[in-house]
Amino acid sequence: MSEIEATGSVLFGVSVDDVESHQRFKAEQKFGFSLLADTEFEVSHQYSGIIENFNASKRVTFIIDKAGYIRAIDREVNVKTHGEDVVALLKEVLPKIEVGQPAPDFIATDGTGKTHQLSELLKEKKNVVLSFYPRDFGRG
Amino acid sequence: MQVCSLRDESSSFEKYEAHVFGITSDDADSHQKFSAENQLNFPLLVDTGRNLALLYGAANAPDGSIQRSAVIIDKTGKIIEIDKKVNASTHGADLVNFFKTLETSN
Repeated sequence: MSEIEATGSVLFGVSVDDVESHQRFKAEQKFGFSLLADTEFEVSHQYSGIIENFNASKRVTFIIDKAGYIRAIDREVNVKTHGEDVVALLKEVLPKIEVGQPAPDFIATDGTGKTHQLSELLKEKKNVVLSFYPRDFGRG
Repeated sequence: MQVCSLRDESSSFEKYEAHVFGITSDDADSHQKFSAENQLNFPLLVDTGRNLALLYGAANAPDGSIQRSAVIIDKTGKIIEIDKKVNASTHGADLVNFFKTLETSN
């Protein structure tokens, strides 16, 4: 298991190259992670932006947590130290669900459509209890 | 039921200034029906994508089941209790006891 996987994360490399290029590159460099072929520039437009005169994705790394929240963006990728930089960043920014740790912010709607955000609830100086259970109509 | 045990302790939760939320992977319609049927006096959050459950360690996959568990967050935003062994019938009283002990120890 890589150090990145050890943090519970899955790693993807993304470039605008096609599948064939990715396969050759991966075989040549023996990468243990997937390379995504963003040949239509969709992911690059949404996340990294494009280097104009070069028609390629900018070097950017996003850290997205299990719930889909972006926890960090590294726009100053140092190609030499990037692997270890990402590991350090993951350890720093991924929420830890342990007693004594800060609770990660969330936003969710209830059955009536009302929105509840943790950071807003805390402004009222109240405690918050999150009580998870499998299904409403399955023994509740 | 876990939710009924929470409903029955609502006055204690008010005393200890705690917002209580029930969370499942059901949608808003189900939550409304279920709340009405059981006369629930606290909100049920919709977590069809398991985002909240994944974030708080109550599920392992976006299509997986949500495990009975509770997380208590204090007024400063710190996690002060994680209960992975929720007893559905005594859950409300167990939480109240936790707040009671916390109050005495402070």
